[in-house]
Amino acid sequence: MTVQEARREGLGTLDLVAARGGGLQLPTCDHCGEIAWPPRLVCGRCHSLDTPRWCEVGPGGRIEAMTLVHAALGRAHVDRPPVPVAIVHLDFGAEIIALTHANVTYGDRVDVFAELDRTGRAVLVAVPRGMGHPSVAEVRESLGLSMSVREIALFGGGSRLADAIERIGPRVSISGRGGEAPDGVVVMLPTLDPIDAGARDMRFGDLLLATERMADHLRTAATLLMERVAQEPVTLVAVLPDRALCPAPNDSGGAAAAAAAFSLVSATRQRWRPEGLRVVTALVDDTVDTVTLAGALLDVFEATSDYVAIGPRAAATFESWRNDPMRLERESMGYL
Amino acid sequence: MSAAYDGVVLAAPFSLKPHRSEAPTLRLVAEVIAGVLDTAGLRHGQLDGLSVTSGTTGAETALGIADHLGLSCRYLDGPVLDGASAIAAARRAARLVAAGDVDMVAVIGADRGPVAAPPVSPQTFDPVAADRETIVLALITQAMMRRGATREDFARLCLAQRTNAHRLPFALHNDGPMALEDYLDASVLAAPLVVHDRPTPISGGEGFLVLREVDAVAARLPFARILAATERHNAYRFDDLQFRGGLARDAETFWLEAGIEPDAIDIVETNDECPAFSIMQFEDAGLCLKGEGPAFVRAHTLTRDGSLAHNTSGGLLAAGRPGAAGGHLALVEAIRQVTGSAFADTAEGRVSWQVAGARVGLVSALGGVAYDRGLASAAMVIAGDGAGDVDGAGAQGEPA
Repeated sequence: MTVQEARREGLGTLDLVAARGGGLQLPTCDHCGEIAWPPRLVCGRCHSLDTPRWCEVGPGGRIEAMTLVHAALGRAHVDRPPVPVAIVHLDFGAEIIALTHANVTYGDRVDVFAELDRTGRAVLVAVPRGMGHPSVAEVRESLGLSMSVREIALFGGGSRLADAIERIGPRVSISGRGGEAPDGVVVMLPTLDPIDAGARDMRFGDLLLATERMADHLRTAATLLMERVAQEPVTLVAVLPDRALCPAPNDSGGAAAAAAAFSLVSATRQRWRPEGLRVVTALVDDTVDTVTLAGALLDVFEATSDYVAIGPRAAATFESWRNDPMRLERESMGYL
Repeated sequence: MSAAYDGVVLAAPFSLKPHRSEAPTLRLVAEVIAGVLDTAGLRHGQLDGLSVTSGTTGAETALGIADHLGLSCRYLDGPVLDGASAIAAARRAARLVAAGDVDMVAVIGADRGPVAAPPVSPQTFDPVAADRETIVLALITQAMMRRGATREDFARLCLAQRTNAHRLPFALHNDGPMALEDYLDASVLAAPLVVHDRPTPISGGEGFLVLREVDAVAARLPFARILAATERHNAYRFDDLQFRGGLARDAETFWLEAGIEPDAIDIVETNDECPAFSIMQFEDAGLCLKGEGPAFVRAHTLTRDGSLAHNTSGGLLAAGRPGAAGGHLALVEAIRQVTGSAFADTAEGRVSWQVAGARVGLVSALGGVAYDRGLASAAMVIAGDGAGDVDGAGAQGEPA
């Protein structure tokens, strides 16, 4: 493993820390307490060979220096230069580079949090402490870290789902027609005609046709989002039935279509992720009603994971699939 | 203190003119080796050592490069220490030549630019996916300003280097001096750094020879002796914000080894990733006390015709940075100056940028900017006979 790979792995963990919320966690040496930041494979202070573990550390620190960055900004900040960046000396004894608020100056006390930016990546944010300073929410807002979508294009969903989403906040256009260029897309794969979840006798030709339609929808949705990708982070959420992960007995057609959908979404992710499009696979079970689904989908836009499960059965299936996909399949077919 | 580098010298300094950027790095390396040998009047077959530093040869090793160029070597290496590579390469080659393990080493740095930063940085390292090095250097510069440095001090360095680069055939910005207003009003990269505070990436190459003094004399080559050399990487890892590099730790032994006082140097070449890094290197090398760098800068003209000639060919800021060969640029220029070879014959006649009476030069490097600081540090003092025609022909730059 190279130094860079070790760091990348560490940063994946920071994504989880940020997604979970709560206190700041950083890799810390079990033996000497040194905070290993950026993440290291071994301790650079006491030379212990045990990889520093992610532990909660105090968020307090002091600004050592702050700069306003004007040049060559990343996608999450493109519309908000200049971006304030600071070196913070943590009370627990480490120097970290963090985003901060433009008002902070040398010597200010700050609290550091791991936060998700609009591309779903974790960033460290130093928020000034005490009265008269901007709040966490204000700092988040000033940095453009809020990820809530404003304009959603809905593919394959009914008007009831569109209404339910609009009642919560964002505007929804059906199939991207009529609205502005969206910053989020929801593609409902199970309800796409002619895939009828649970159909017993789906013919092979129907399955092929359905797969092509799904591919079409995903391609159209991705292309629509790419119009906005240069200006701001964009997310495509593909919703499919949880049975994509395992066939139910006597449901070969529906499960096969769902499995095809699952693969198509993965292929879409591979194709578009490098160009800045975040693609989320959302597995839904049939116990979820429209209003719950609308709320859960908006949460998905703000979450960091590429895979989410909505509904109790979907969550259980997803968990089981992650642990051992083969066992799940045997169980669901009644072999175990 | 280590043994002196007796009997080993540096010679045949060579710089490529800024190159068309589509030339592959291997071609640049080949051209620099040819240029070095041409300068020395030697043939490829006489080389038995090669040190190549480059960031753009991909997976190619020194072994593959030597094979590609048809060189049969007893020493092959290529330090990858950013700006400190050149000094490290010269230091290692000198030890091997002194020990008789190898006769003649070509030390080459070449890179094609603009070199894209390696894709190492998820956003935590690269908080806004901007040029990470620039952000770190801006923060370090901020800290230096808190201790008394001003933007005018940084401007002094930039302007002096532009003046030094004037008319130099291989400098990128060789079109004459820059006005203070142009510097102060330039567009901001990351406050307080403006575009003039960071080098422009170019394609280029630099090289020189490390060989025995007797061989240099036999080949009638002007040469420079190594009075002292040091490397110290990743020093002071517990400093909150970088205000010193590894050289600060070893400066005392370094000058003891050189046998001269810091004020005996005629020229100084620093690895100027940004002006604050040059100031830090002045302080680390003991040219002034820690914290007095800004005052030191105000007390000198830093130009070739004034007091303390600094980065006499414009440094990285005015000459452009040929990727990993940035440190080679400084060392090659120092060899040119102390051997009296700082001139070039161009279509418009001979251009000379020789510093009058330059015989002892300090070369310093601070680079390898990692998460929040520059990790690599190295320095070398070299001495030659100078131009020979200035105040007493042929006086030796011997250690005191």
